[in-house]
Amino acid sequence: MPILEAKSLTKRYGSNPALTNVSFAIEPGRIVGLLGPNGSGKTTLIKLANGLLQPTSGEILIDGEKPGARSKSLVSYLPERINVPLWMSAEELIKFYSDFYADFEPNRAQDMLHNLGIGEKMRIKEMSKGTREKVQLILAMSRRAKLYMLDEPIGGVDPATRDYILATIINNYDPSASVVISTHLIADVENILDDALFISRGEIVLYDSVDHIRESRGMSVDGLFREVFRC
Amino acid sequence: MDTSFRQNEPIYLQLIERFKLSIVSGKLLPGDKLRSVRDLALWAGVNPNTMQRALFELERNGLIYTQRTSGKFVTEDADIIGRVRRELAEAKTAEYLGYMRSLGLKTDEILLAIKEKEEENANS
Amino acid sequence: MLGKLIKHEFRATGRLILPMYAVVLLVSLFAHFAFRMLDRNMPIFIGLALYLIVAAFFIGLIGAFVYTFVVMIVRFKRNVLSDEGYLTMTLPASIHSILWAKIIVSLVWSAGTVLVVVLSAVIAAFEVGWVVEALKDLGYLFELFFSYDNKASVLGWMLSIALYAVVSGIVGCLNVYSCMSIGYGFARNKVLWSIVAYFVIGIILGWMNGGGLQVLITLNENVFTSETFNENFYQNFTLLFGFQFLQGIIFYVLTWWNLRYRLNLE
Repeated sequence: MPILEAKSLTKRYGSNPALTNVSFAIEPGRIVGLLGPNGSGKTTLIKLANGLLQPTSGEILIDGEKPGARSKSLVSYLPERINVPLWMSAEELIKFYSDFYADFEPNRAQDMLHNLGIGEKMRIKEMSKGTREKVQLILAMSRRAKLYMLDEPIGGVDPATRDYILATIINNYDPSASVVISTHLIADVENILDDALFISRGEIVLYDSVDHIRESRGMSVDGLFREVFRC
Repeated sequence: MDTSFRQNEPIYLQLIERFKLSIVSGKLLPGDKLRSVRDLALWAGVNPNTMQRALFELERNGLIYTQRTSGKFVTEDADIIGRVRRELAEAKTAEYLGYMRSLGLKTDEILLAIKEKEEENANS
Repeated sequence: MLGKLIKHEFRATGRLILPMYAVVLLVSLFAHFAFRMLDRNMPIFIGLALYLIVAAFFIGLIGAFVYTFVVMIVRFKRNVLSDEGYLTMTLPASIHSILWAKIIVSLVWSAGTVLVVVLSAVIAAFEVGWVVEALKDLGYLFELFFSYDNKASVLGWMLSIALYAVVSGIVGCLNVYSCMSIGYGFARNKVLWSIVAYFVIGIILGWMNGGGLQVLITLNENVFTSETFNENFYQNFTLLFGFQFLQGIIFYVLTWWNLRYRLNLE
């Protein structure tokens, strides 16, 4: 069964279409790039999968179920924004996550914090923006989720942090889980992707494996992206 | 993390090529144990499935083998390594010849060019 | 899951509410001494300081309620309707549990504030003559009230009032939540829309309340003269209670529906 499936998914804000008749299925064990320019509907799609929005029509299914309490226990979601309470310390957040997520592994989070030299007693509000983002990534990746949804995890980070993020994703790879990474910086993530899902103006324009794209078109996903989305 | 892959070719094919080179050139010795797929993926900065696919192809070609409990190892079969060395050499030669021909050189001129370069290298 | 949510809700709000309790109680302790010294002859600046303490005490009593209310509103906005909402609304919990955790904790803090305010009043006024007299008068009033030949027992009264207080507390809380969830469903001017929602709902409820009263009076024209009200106490109470309950259900459904279908996190 696909871990994430969209069936004729449509979302409109008022009369503005954000997603139009989107259908696809992501099987377990894949790292999928959700690729599209800004405003193409990537975040809308991710929010729909996380139950933060409701579809106008069609449906989105996580492990065969509509978003709800159960699906949320399967999905680890890293939003674009700092979503953790600023007054909490890293240590308190680890407790919070352990409390709410049965699949959260505090030891892994502690190890990763330690490796980055982030003090557990430090409060989020005392951290720099970059450190906050790393803490959030660590929390998201320390779950043994079935589906990770990472919204723009490498937008606006320095190359060293980007490498750290990508290494963390590879390091936590689990053949029974899938990872969806939304980004418009394709060259940076291309090497760790299995599949590329191109989205443009709320519609899927291409869904193929990275190997097949390179084999059949003789160009990288980044190259193809530039061609498809040429201004 | 090494991200210097060519743009126009599947990454797993480039990984296979890198492994072949390492084995033929002796960077990886016969009987050497390979690291885990995850570690290799991290080292190359690629998706673990891609690394897995490359290793699968290498295993199919007999360059590496799996011992059920202890992991993957470089083959100790010198014939296979020799065969791969010839294949790599042939491929590179064909590529080189194609390039020289496109420059308009004939076989004897190409041979001469090789000979001259070799002498120059020996003298320096 | 509800238990965990409540636990965390207490932790997140307690760090704001408990220090306020401490301050209010501390000020009431100062006020306790200030009250006693007011009628003595003092240099002008000490007298002024005493008046300031007394003023701070009274402001603190009212401020405690305002503060509790503001904490409730800000907590809901931050935790559900702003960036933190990305975490809160993706916890493996239903919107119902998230909502109930907030309602229950708000209710407990409201009750706590009432207790702290009463306690601080007692501390400040301890053994001040006129207060003792006033309490005696209040007791007398109670006696008078229950001396009517009525069907409601004192215990029945107390329980009914307590129940009514709890339900009104929940309804008041949901009133605010529903307005915010409506206002924050808009893409822009979220706060403005929340306030508009508050007034529109207020007006509609005003009409409904008027209608409700009309119904009560039609049923029994003398409903609000105390004797007959008391006679039909349980019947009238049930009507009032039912009316509150109905409002609560409307607010709850509004809040839930807006959080589910119109949630619009930036």
